[in-house]
Amino acid sequence: VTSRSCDVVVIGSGAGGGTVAQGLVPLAQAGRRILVLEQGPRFADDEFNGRELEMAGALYHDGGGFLSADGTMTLAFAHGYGGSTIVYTGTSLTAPARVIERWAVPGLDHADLLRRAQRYLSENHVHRLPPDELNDNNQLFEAGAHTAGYAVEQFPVNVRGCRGSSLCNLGCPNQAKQGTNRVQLPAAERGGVEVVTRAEVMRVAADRTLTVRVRERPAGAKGLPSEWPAGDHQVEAKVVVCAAGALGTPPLLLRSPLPAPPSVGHGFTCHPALILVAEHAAPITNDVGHPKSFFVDRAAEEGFVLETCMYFPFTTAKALTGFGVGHSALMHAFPRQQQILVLSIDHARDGNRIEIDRAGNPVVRYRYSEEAVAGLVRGNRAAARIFFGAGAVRVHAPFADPPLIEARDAARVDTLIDARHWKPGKQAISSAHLMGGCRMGASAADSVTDAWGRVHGLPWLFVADASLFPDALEINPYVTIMALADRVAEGVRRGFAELAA
Amino acid sequence: MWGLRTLFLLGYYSRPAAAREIGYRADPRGWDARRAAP
Repeated sequence: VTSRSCDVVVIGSGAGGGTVAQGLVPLAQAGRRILVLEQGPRFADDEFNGRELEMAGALYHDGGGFLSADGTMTLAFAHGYGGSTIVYTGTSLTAPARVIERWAVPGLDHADLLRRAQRYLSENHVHRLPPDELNDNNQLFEAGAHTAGYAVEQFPVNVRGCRGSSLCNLGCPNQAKQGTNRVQLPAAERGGVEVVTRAEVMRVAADRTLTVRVRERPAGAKGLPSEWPAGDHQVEAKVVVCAAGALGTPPLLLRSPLPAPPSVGHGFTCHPALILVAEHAAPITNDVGHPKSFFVDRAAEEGFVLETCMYFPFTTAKALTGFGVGHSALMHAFPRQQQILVLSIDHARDGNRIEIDRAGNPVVRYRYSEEAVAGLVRGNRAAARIFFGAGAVRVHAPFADPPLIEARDAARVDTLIDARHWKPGKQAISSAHLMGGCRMGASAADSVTDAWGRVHGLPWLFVADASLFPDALEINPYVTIMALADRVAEGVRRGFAELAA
Repeated sequence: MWGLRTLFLLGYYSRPAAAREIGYRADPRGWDARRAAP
């Protein structure tokens, strides 16, 4: 075991950890040692080749196959220099005021979050793509939404020099997405912050010592070797910032011998999502161009959000129900496919939580509320109306039985798509918006941290990721994670002298 | 653990030959590649 020491250690390098790392550059420049420990590797630019199985295996936890405890939902999150910002689509929305008001966290207000978020929208080059870069899959969504009577908005995205590979979720092969791997982490390293990859934090002790396991680069695997030698390391720190994500931070606190508040792990929410597929009569451009340019936000009114999407062959095959000839026929219609992602708003509730197994690995206990299922059904119907409004000849609707709805039955989608067809495990539900488990609040009786991410009762320990969310955000979360992490960095900078003492 | 159906689909559709067969043509060069071979 190698012993090391630092002033501040940041666990994780995604939207939260990368932001904190950059925010602590003033401390590094003042001579403090700031360390970022990232579980995954640092990838070379030329390793992103867009091959589905190869990239999913390299980037995602369990290759993208991590399931909820009952096996009914796939949960996607990445490991690597930049965390899940490597694999998001870069859609950049700020938190709705109504959500922050509903969270009712003492000391947290929407105006402050918005001000901080706007800094990162600028820093990460967020803008809307020009019309000539939008593919048919996106333009049909916009046209279909207008025809069906939905207000449709264009996503701002954080790309610079996007070539339209459509491969965002497998890591951009052109380094166009401006995630923390492209912006905040390089800035932090230039400012004197050290980043150590392939370094998994096993536990944090009450004396502020971390047990860290650095792993060898497996033979033939993607990614560079760690900056440290493989083996176990003991790292002493004065301040610890946990930014390992909603499925990283709560399990770390649960397996650590700490007097953490009892609600660690509780309040997990995830915007459970369904991929819907429609078939057009003629080929469209769908697997070229940025995949996610438009959305319909019905979160407040109907409990769902629709987003354009276009997935890869295996992911698409998994999303379709059934097997055999019908399934194969729809897969062979790939050049004629339009896809929409339906996200349901699932509010935090008792019982939906993150636990750990005997080895300390995350276990997600999740039961679908009636509200979450109703959001999926309403979203499924709305997506079908948009598909038919765009001229689709048939729609694959997982909440219909049989799932294929022909255009001649377009007027019957409200009858055909119904919650009576809901069967956990039958529909391919997935989630990439993992939130909660270390919620902010007033005291240890009802929450894990205060509004600045400081863990109640442990003033040297902070949380800076989506596990802070007390409830569903109702939009894509990375900008809000960065805004909250910006507050954590400010709190650490401001209080460092006292915390170090 | 994923079920047998998912594992079968993984094995089948992650093959480059299957991707070509269904007409999947995503390319890291994006629009440039598509304009070169519409």
